[in-house]
Amino acid sequence: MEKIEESLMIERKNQTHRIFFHSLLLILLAFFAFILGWAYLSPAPGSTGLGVLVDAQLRESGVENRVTAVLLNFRGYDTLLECFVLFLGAVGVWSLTPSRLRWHESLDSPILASLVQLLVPLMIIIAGYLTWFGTLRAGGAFQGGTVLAAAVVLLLLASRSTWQKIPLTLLSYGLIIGPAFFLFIGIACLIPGGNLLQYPTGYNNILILLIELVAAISISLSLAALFGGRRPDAPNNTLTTGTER
Amino acid sequence: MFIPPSFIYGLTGIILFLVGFGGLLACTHLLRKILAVNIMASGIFLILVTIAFGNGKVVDPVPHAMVLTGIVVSVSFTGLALAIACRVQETANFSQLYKKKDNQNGADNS
Repeated sequence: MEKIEESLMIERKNQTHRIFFHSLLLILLAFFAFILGWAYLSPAPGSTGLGVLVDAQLRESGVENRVTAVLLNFRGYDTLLECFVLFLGAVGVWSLTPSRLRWHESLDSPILASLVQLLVPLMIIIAGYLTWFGTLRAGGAFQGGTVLAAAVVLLLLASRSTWQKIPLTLLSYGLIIGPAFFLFIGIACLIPGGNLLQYPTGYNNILILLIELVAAISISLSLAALFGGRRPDAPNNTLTTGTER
Repeated sequence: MFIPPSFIYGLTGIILFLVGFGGLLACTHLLRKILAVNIMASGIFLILVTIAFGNGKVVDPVPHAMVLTGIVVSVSFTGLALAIACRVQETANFSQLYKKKDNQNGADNS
């Protein structure tokens, strides 16, 4: 009898806790909703955005796509830092002890293999096209890199052991080459007397295209490294499967 | 009454952000928290793109570029967070930050 009463009391206590927590959460959410709605609905006085400004400077940027112009020219340092963020993400995953969870071995299905054989070359072509086309229309290093990463992910899904076959040095250099090249170009811009990432006039287009191509490789490898989840040379200790609780 | 489509997009973005934020605070499972942050990010991206649309005459490309970078960063974050969550699950053998007391003896039903 005592036990039942005790459990009932605990139950009641938990319930009050829960109600208190939920009401607190609701108040917090209402507060955020108010702030967001106010920020969204209140028009900035006299602001037409930066679209007009970008259009006026577009000729000087060396590319015809406005988003690419912003990404790699006007706000190049954003993209530079972002490349390093991706690199750090991949490094962070690699620096963790590899997961003991068993990798499901591939099914060795001939359908999957032939599909991958068909799709991966196509995706590589599309990735290259998207990257190259980014200077003219919608597209660019991130889009191309993502398609390339998807190709690698498909490859890994078809046969998991592919990841361990990739040479580590190639992968490591591939991961850093994009940010490093971008940084190198940015610093090289200082030599003729410009600012950081201020491309010399006349070389805009070719420099942006080069940076995009190299960055696309690094972006795709970083994303693939995140999916791979471990260094290719990590010991394969799948003795114990993950203990689910 | 005419509601401009950009308003609906903005409203959806705000709702997505709130759903994600609520999930981030209320859910105790690590995977759910990661998913909640992703939903929050989607809401923010939607709001940013809607603001970029403005009055529809001259679309502002700067928020577009920010969203483009943001998407890639959020993917990178998700990958790293999942790897860390896996580590936590394996080393400490728990995946929930807080366990309900009345659920201790029974099966884990979340």
